Amino acid sequence: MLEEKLNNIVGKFSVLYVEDDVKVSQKTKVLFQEIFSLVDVAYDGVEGLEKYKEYFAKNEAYYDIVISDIRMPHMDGTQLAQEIRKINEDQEIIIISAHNESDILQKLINIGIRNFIHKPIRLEELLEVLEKLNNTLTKKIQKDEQFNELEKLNEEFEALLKGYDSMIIASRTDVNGIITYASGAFEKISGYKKEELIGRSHSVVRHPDMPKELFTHIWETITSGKIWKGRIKNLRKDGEIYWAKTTIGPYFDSSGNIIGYNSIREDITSDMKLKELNKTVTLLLKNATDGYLLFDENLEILPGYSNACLEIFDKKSIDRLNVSQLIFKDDQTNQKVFELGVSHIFSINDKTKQELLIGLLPISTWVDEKFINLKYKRVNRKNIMVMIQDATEKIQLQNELSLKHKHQKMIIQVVSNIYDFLELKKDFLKFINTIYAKNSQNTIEIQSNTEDMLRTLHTFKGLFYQMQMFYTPDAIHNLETVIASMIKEGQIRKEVENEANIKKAFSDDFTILEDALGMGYFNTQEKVDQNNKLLKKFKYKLKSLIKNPLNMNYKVQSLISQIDLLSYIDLYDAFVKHIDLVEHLGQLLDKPMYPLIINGDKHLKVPPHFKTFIRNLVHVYKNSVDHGIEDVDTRLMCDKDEFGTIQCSYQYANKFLHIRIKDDGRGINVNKLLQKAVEENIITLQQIEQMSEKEKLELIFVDNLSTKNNPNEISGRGVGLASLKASCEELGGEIELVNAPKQGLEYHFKIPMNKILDSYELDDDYEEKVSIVEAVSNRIKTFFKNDLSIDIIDARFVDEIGLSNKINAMVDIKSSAYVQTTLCFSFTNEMILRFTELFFADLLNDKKDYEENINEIAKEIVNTLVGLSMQDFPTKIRDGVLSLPQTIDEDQVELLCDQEECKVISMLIQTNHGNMIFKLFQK
Amino acid sequence: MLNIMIVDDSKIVRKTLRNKIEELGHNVQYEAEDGREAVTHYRRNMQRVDLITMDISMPVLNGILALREIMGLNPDAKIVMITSHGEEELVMEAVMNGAVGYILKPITNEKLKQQLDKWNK
Repeated sequence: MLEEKLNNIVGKFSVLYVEDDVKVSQKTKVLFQEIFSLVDVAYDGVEGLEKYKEYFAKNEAYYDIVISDIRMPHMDGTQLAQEIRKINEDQEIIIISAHNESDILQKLINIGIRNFIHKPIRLEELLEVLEKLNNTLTKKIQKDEQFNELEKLNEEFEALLKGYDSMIIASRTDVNGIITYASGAFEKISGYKKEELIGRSHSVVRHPDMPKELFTHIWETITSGKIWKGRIKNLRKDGEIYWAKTTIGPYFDSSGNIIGYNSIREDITSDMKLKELNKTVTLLLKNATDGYLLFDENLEILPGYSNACLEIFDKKSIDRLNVSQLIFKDDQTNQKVFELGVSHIFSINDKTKQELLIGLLPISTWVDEKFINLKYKRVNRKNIMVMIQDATEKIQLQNELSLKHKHQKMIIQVVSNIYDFLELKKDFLKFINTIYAKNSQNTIEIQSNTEDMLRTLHTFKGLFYQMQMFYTPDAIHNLETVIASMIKEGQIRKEVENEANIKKAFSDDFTILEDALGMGYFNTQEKVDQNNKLLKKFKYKLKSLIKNPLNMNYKVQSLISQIDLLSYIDLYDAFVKHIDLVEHLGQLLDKPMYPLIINGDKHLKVPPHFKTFIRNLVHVYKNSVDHGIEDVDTRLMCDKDEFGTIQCSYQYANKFLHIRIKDDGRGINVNKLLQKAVEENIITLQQIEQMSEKEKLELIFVDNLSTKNNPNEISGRGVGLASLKASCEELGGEIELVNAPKQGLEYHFKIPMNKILDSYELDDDYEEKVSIVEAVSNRIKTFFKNDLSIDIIDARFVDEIGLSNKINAMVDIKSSAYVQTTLCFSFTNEMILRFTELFFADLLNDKKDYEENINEIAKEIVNTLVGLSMQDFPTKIRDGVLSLPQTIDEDQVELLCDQEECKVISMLIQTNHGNMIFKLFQK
Repeated sequence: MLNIMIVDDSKIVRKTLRNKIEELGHNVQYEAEDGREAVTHYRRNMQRVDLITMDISMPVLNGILALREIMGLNPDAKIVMITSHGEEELVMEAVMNGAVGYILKPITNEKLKQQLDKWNK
């Protein structure tokens, strides 16, 4: 116990020990030295006081404890204690007293001495007192330390305050709001100098955007002695704004009156700017026409995408959806590329590589009916941003075209097989009533003849399919399935779903037809004329569609060509009608005639504008039978067959349609013709002398000139032949008369026609082949970065190809032992030049180099084009083996065209950079 | 100046690349017609080739396989792929295997310069 107390105290305190008895002093000092860290000894009060002062001068601190005897010479303990307390009122003093000194003790207590020990000194008593002192002394020391710290803090605080002048936006105004103090920071943020601010109203920094009511409110608050806090937008001297989080409060004088207002502001301009920015960003995201979204490595879309995304993907929310499945749901090839690319990007940290990979992500795709362009940006380690641009509008017309195209296919089929269609319709409508239950449009009833019914349905499906009907075949197919399952399950009645409602499907199809062709179309009897009118209208509509800037017109163009073909005139068919005419004429004029002989290509067609001319040909027959063919008596006299003969032959050769109509009549009596012409004042005698034989003969075409004296109902007046000539010339043609007097006359019509149109039935694989052309042309577009308008036109429908100095390059794709596809490209120089610019621009610098390599270039172009497009070819061709490209001359191309059992399609690819022909041979 | 090895099976592409490369002030160190030839040449001339332009689809040894072999010989080899749209997946594979860049055909001076400048130190 004692030891413990001792341990707590030993070595802690410094002590001044005052004792006049040397013996006692020496003895006690030994003990004290055991207990205290320092023991100074004095022998009377005066010396004690000196030592006390000395100690402080030396250590800048007082003894922790002064221990003094009471009775001493010169200055006793009581006096010493008093003196010491004058110097340091907190000094701990212990008085050593004897038992008989109680009156002095009372005095000591009065001056604040609390600690006494008795003579002789006992260690227990000393320790008890020291322990008490220890507690107070330790506390005091701690207090001193705290005080020092606080002082240090205060200094720092002061320094800070000084700095705060430049940091804290502070101001003070008087009761009227006139600035009396402005901190440096306020100076800085407001743009005003302190001198400018002081003496002015605080409203100098007020921003006009802030409502007046606000300031009224602030004023009311602070004048009532309260503090106002809030955010205020302020105006700088230079007109810029700054936002400040503001605290304004009144300050008072000692009697509690408001004598002014303090305000402290915090610059939150950047915060507010950020807030406004956020607002702007939100606004942007909300209103951006482009889609922006972020996704993470799990392909999950993060919240905070632009609203345009919702529109593009037609969703209420795309939060947390899989970005790949969202964007590429209809585009598996690109989905694969995208997912592969993204997984690579997230798997590596190398930024360069990430950029490289981002450059390879798909840049466009289709979503539903929308065409979207895509851009990517790696925004941080975890996210990639996708920018989505809806480019549908650009392509929308294309879609419309595609649908119209389907409709048109049906319409064309129906129009060109109108009678078949009407019959089919009649039969079909009759039939479907038998499969529905009585009094119900939606319930199918199985009858005894169900098997027959199914067969009939199937036939109808085939027929409607042939008609390229839109909805009906599918609906029939669905109905077939329903009925088959009913039979299997032994059901008798069943309500059918909408998809299997063939009545509705058929009426939908019919509505499309009626919309396109007019309500009355199917009721009218005069189908042919109507047909042509409609076809014209139709063609006009299609052509107006073509005028749009899109490039996928070749299908429509081929459609137009098909429509054209419908209205094209079958020459043979037209001429066959003349057989009846000639027979009829012969009977009328009492001239027996052999049936008209017609020789020519039965498939040859001529454009519809030949119609007038063909109609006018009747005048040839009229004239021939009337004027050319003699009457039976004369013919017999001339040793001719009593039956007259007229032959019509036609052929297409060297871009001309040749029609020869030849009779075995008397020919033209030129002299008689001339005489007549003079009589009619058409020519003068002088003119005759200058006329060639040809010109003289051609007088028969002159209006109102007829060699026949009495024009009859059949011919005469010359009007007919004149209009024939006019119609022929309108086609750019000419008529040559081959006159063999007494033996006959031949009309030879030579009409330029650029294209021989026959066998236009599209072959079965037409679509497939076209898809190849499509793939190649898309590739070309890619190369030209869409900076290219492409029209693909079935070359059969093009009058003038207009490619000169072609270079032909070809490759073979061998798909199997039997199927070989040859792709032959004919480039104009212009086109090659463009490709060269793209592929090997520098070759152009050296003209010689370029010319020398032009075949190589053509080969490389073809190789690249076909090689890269192949993936988009139809399956069986895509998997074929590509040969080396080679260039071939024009003759070799011809040879290719003439191969046996070889289907050719030939497409003219028109671009704004020149044209090329793409031929595809398949055998 | 970079010493460049051109790897391409098309004569005309090689010629074009050579012209452009030389025009840009670099040296064509070697022209290889296929991947195998490229690897063989690179093995013996590693120190003399700074950069390789590599076609992707080539006979004998395609660009990807050639790239792998060359990266195996020298992990610091600089290989720029010459490629076309439609070959994205292959290019990605090439990048993941160490290709330092790619040029999508058509090859323009600008694209080529950009790639070469990157490695011309």
